[in-house]
Amino acid sequence: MKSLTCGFNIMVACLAVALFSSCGYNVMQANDEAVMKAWADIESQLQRRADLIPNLVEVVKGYAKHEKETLTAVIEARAKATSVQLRPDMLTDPRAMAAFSRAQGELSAALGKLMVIVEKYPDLKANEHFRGLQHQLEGTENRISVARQRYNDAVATFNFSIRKFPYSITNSLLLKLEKKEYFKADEGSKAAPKVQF
Amino acid sequence: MMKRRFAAMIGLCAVLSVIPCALFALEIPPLLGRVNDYAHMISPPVRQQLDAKLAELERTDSTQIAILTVTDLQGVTIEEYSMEVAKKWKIGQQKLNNGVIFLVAKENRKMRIEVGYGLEGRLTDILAGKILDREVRPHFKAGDFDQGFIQGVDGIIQAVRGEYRASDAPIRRPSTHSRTSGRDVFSIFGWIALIAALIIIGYRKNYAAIIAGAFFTPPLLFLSTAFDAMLIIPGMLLGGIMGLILGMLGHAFKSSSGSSSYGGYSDDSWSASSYSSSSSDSWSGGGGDFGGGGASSDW
Repeated sequence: MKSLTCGFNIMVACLAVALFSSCGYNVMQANDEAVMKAWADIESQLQRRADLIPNLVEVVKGYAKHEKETLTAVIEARAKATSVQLRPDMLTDPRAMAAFSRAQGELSAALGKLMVIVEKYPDLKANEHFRGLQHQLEGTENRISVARQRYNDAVATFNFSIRKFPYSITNSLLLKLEKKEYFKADEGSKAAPKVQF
Repeated sequence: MMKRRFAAMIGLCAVLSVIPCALFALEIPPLLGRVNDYAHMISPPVRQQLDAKLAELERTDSTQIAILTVTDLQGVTIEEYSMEVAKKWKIGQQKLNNGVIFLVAKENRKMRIEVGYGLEGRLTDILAGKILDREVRPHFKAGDFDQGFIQGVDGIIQAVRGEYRASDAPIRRPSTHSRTSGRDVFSIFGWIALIAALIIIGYRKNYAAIIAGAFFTPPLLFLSTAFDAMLIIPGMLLGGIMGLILGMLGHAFKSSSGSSSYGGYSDDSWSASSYSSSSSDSWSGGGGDFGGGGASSDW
């Protein structure tokens, strides 16, 4: 008799595990975490870009004294971009995301303008330090776009997983996760500084 | 009339559905080896020299470097192109992500060093840019592609050296053989003897092979690994299955009186021999990941 109830218990446990794994609870949690991680990657690259700017401005200042306006625009855009923060729990908020992406896009546009102006100063372009910064900035822009693509892929996976059946039922009953926003490339940031030699 | 319009609609849909594919499908050439000279920029002796250098680097440091030359970029930027190559080729070891792709587009006169996640600390963007600007560009400008590739690859190798030593890097193929101890030899002989015995027993009686397999497999398992009571039941099951299969094999010999095919068993069951040598002909990426690091330049 005892072995019978024991067997019954095991069966129930197996059934529960099977049900739990097919309802998508864990899958949705994993997808949610993947989005958070992808977002953290974007943020760290954006931070890296913001960190490069003061040095860049300093070097350019030494050679291009007449470009005060552009330089100030870059500094202001940087200040604004670093002030607009987006915590991972705000990824579901379309307005917060739009504000964030606009601020970053404006910074990209200001940097793009600066990189065009630099073309007028051959001495600056020949400067070793400036070349280094330029390579770093290009690399960072490229990393940002890769991170953005990965983030958007993660969001697509996540959004689909909370909508597909039967995961949608689990979500509406248990998890109550919301759809997350894509990080769209702003018009300004599409013109990432492409350096011509 | 209706029918024709319908057919036209279907046709239009078909065309429309193909267009985006044609627009976005970037054709990435397949990975041939370490040096993929699709644009014919490198002379054969230099190609061999580069290949040897890169193979040596992978042997000592496990870092993988691939060179790709293409005639043109099919209308995308070199950064996008090289990222697609990185995604497809997966150069670098899986956990270490220590791959580098040196991409040159001949017609566009553009080049890029794409650096895997794991090497970003050593081969920084600045360093990659310097290698391109100082080592490669002057030679490419002068039309001496060979020298440009040699200096560029030397620069990359110097930059990535030291970050991942063979000692702390799990290389796919161990370069040094682990010495086989007497116990290992003993257990290998034990397994061979067991398989031979099972086939011979199966030749006579099928069920006897199952019992023999179940009985002798656990002790052999303990001999080749370590004693573990947990292994007894699975070992017996495994042995039973082995006995069943080998016994059936032996039984099949009886009916067909076939020749020796059990020699083949001892080859792939224990991978001691399959580790030893593997030619670099079919070189492939180890599953490394790239995050967009590196630098681009032109000439």
